Amino acid sequence: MASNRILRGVLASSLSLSALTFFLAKPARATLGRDASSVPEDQAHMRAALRISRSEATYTVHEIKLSSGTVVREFVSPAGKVFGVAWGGPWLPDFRQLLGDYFAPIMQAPRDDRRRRGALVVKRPEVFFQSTGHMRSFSGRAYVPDMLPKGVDSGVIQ
Amino acid sequence: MNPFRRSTADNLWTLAALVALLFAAGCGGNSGNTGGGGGGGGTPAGCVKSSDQAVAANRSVDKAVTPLGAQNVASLTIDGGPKNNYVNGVFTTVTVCLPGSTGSCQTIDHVLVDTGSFGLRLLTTTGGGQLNLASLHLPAESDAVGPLAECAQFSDGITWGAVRVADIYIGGPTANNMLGEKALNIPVQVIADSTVGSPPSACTAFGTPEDDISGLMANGIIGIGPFQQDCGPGCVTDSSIGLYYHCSSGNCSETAISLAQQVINPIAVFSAATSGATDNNGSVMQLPAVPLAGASLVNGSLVFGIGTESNNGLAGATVYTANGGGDITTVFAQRTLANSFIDSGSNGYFFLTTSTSSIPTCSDTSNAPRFYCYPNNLTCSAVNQGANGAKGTVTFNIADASALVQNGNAAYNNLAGPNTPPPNPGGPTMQTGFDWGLTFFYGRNVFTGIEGVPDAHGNPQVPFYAY
Repeated sequence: MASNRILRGVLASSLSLSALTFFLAKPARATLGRDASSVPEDQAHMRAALRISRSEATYTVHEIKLSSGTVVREFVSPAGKVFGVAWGGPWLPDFRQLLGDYFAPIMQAPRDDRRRRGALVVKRPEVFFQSTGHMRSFSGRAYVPDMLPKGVDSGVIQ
Repeated sequence: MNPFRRSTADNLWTLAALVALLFAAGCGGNSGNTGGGGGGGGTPAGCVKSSDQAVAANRSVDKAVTPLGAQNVASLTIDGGPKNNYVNGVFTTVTVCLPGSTGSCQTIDHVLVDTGSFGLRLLTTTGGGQLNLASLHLPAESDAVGPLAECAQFSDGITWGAVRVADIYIGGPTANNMLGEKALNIPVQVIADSTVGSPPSACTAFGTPEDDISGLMANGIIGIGPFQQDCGPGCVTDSSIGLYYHCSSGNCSETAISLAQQVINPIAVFSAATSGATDNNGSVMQLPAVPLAGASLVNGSLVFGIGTESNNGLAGATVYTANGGGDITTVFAQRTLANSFIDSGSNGYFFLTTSTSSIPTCSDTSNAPRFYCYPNNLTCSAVNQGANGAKGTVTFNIADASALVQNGNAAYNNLAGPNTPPPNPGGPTMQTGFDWGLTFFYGRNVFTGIEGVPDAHGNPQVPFYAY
């Protein structure tokens, strides 16, 4: 696929430039769909430390680690929007904080008599949410398809 | 007799042919490892379109099920659940008593058996379950602030409820749990317990509450996975994890809690059995194989202890030790999924995504939304690896979920659906895994070993699965 080829090129070049760097100046606020502001509200709320950020040509990734050991990443577009979030670790993050305006529609999405038990997938036109794992080991991600930067595959959000 | 049964020799031959086919598929054709769209009509990587082969794979494992009757054996039933709407839900029955009493007890059926969690959770009659607190007033755990509550986390929602103390009896002859194994004076979660009210916003931040019978679809959950406490050391020092709360005047706030106060895997604290052995180091789930069209009712056995009695030896099963989170590694379609797990509380095989597996997801308007709907039956192959280096191939079937469930059966060995994407080469990667749900358990004896409990030789166990 063409987009995959482009993406691989982007990643290859940015990797060589941008090793992981400590990001101290402007910590970001990890709420899906909102502007990445300079207010560290989210870290304060989740009692977390910003660890690292890295810049690809088409987006920036900020990573914070919660005291529980769970890692949260936010993906920020060149336009400054958080278009995706991902998490992984022993316990779930605060989804109300992380998902912002998308929290309610995701949590209230119909579960079809809950025929499916296990990994949760919520697919709505405006947002996509996947949650998997079990006590002591969870992971997942959410993203806003309309906010994906051009040429970025949703598979990078993790 | 079921028409799918074949002789062992037949199985071995067909399985050999199948393995050869899968090997050929893996080496030829679409060996791309980026797994883009997959195009139309190709066979998904790691799988072959199947007909007879699927039958062989289905029968290639069909371990014996220990009969009920011994003290350390409890029943397993897959029957659609209390609301007759639960596909691949496996249930047992527990008896709950006031601490120290063998007369003040209630027997609760349709308790989901879950190797993906730790601890016993029971739904009250208030929530549509069976535990009646008015007639069985289990003492509450509390601290200086007030009663303790828990917000238990699952990948698809949360359960909120009080932490109370009970004596638990399970298994035993003639369906009399009082003659079975016992876990005395243990903390359990009581869901839909008015003394701690509805979940606070700090709890609902983690997911949708499943605090009634329509959400939980069971009268309780017995978590028998590879750890003792449902939280462990983290919650002793860190209240921000958000699992445990103390309540005052209807307001519940996060708190740290000692290990002894945490909801615990009942098996880990079993008293000594009449044999003199203590069957507290794990369990074996035994379910018979089911036909490819599924079954309306399946009965099996949950045997307590591993290598502690004459009926629970490993018997040649391969041990796959897990990491500190309870995960093993699965390699599927050339993807290494390092956070894979064997979870009787998931009701299918959940792995990859449609764009990375090339298996279409059923439409939202179908009768199996968010399961996989490939237009043929598939027979697939993956390799499980333990932290101890053990490796073994698993062959499994996937049906078109939407077509499959039309027959209304309760048990299927070939339901699958999407999970999360595989690691992203070159970019940031998040842990991801293959969720081996109840589909994996049919025809197998699946052992779950509990961390920190002494094994049959007295050595503390690491968490493990074996089959």
